[in-house]
Amino acid sequence: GYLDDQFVQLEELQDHANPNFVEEVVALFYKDSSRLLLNIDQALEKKPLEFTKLDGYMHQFKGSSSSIGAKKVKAECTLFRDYCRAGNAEGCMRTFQQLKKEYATLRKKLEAYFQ
Amino acid sequence: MEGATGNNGGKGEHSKQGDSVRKLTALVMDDPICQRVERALLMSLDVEAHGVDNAHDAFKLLSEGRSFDLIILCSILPGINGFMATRMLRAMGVQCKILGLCGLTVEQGRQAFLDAGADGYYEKPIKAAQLIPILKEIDPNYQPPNSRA
Repeated sequence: GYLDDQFVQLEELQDHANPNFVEEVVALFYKDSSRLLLNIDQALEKKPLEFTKLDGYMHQFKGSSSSIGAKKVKAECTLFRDYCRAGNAEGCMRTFQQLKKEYATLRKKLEAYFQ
Repeated sequence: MEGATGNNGGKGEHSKQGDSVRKLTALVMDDPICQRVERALLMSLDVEAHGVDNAHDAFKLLSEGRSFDLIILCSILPGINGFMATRMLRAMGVQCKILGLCGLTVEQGRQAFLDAGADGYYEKPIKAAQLIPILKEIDPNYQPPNSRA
């Protein structure tokens, strides 16, 4: 699936004191993701690629993806970072395209969840 | 710096079962999403959790006299990173437990946090099962909410 056990943990943290907790966290994730994805897109247009900068962005994205349980997005982040460390520009570009697809699918699934 | 130290090194005299209980306090230094989740987790464990998204705000709180039983910080922070922030917290005289968090487990990250003076290092997302033993080290009388009679 697209969401792992961490998402279940978020649901368990939702209670009468935090009735909209999951929705709030997901909203924060969307906002932060949009920023990071834009930064990465722009960074991938620069030649030569600044792998350290890209790795830093993806490190952040992986952290936030992990926190909401976005399993497939997290996996693509890890792969992207492996390509960054190897200095593999083509691998980074290819993985980023896949990551964006996984992210788009995740958003659709989350939208369905909140309806 | 006064007020910047953690509490009594975890001797537990502040919270005793059956007496008026002082909650453990924690400061989370992380991006807004992770901070929200980490704070909610700590609060579910009955820890009063405060959050900042950068080291400067943390230093400001501490210099104003706030103290915490636990500080949790991410390796990536805007401006001063988590490793440097840990060094600076220790240099300020902060003695409480400090845990480093990273988005990816790498030995260099773990060692960098430990070398900077952190007490532990975890890959995100940190779990209750990882926090509870730490809270018990801080306060031997600490019991997580679900385990209380």
